[in-house]
Amino acid sequence: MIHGALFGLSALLSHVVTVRGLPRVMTQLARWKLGAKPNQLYHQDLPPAETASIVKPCPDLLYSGCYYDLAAGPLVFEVPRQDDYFSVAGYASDTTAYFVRDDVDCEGDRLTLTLSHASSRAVDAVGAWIVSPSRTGFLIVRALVSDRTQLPRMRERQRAIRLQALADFTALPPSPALPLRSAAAPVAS
Amino acid sequence: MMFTLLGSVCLGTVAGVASALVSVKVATRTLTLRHGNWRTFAEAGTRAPGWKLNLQSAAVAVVGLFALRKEEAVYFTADHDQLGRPLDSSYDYELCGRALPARWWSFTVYGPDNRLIANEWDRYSLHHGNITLSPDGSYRVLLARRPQGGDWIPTGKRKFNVFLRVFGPASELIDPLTELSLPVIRRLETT
Repeated sequence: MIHGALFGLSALLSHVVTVRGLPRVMTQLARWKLGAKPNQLYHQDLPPAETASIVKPCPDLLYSGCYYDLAAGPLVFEVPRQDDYFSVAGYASDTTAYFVRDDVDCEGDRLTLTLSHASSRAVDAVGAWIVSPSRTGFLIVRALVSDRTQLPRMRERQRAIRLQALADFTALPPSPALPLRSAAAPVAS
Repeated sequence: MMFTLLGSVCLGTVAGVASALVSVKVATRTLTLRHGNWRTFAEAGTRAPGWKLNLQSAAVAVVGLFALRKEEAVYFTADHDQLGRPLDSSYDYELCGRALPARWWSFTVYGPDNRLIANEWDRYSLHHGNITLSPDGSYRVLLARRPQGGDWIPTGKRKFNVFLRVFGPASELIDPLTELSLPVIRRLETT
């Protein structure tokens, strides 16, 4: 009798823990594969053919991002505009994609977001105010490379992405000479 | 006595983990939409209501980690031709369709391990910007092991799959996803 009860109870508990824990485990696994340290940006180039750590990498997108931790307060994330499609998406620790902003939402020369945790007080946000449902998660930037001759300039902008604590944030002056969206010159990818 | 109690706990834990993994696998199948020879995971990135939440999150973590929600992007995979035969690089294929109402869309070929297929031509995908469109908006892409004239993506030396990414889809395209006119993949019998 007691054996059956123990079996059932441990089976139920481990079932629930596995289902609930799987998204967090997968997120941490991705973090480990990316070598993403908390609140530090990472940048990826176009994926080479032998990208062992990434499943279904997109050969047409430049990826950047960060694994964020809002324990120390809100963060400001600033992404320079790219000439073609680009987006910033937020993923909670349970993998829910809880927001996305793309180039259509970008009114100036950069997309600026203030990210705070749902439990924190209202903040004096810079740019759009985004509330994360979890304390930790991922921000991922995707930028479409429709013309590979533009890659050097796109990489330059990719590396100009900024992540700062809101308390330390200093605004940059507007970039003076960002070109308008160019018609994509078709190239083989 | 102590050891048999511990054995019950261990067995129960193993059974619980196994049943959880089976549940997640069933959930991924349940949440996968089939549309011709294409499959899509429509709930990627979304937050399910109520009790479904945890199971759906687990399924998304396994098959669509860091995917965007369908309002921003939808993804389709095909690993069979229109007659239901597995895509195999021993054969050549044509992928025919019409331009999609979206910001951008692309086809990428992956190997059976879902990695890009290394090739000397450095070609892995074609997108709306470099696919040749006919005046009526139609296109024809060749999927073949050896170089082909026109739009072509190499398929390596083993089985492969085709991944369609549609970014910024028009609302009529995603509601419902199964109404979308997707390309067909035909095996060319001449090779």
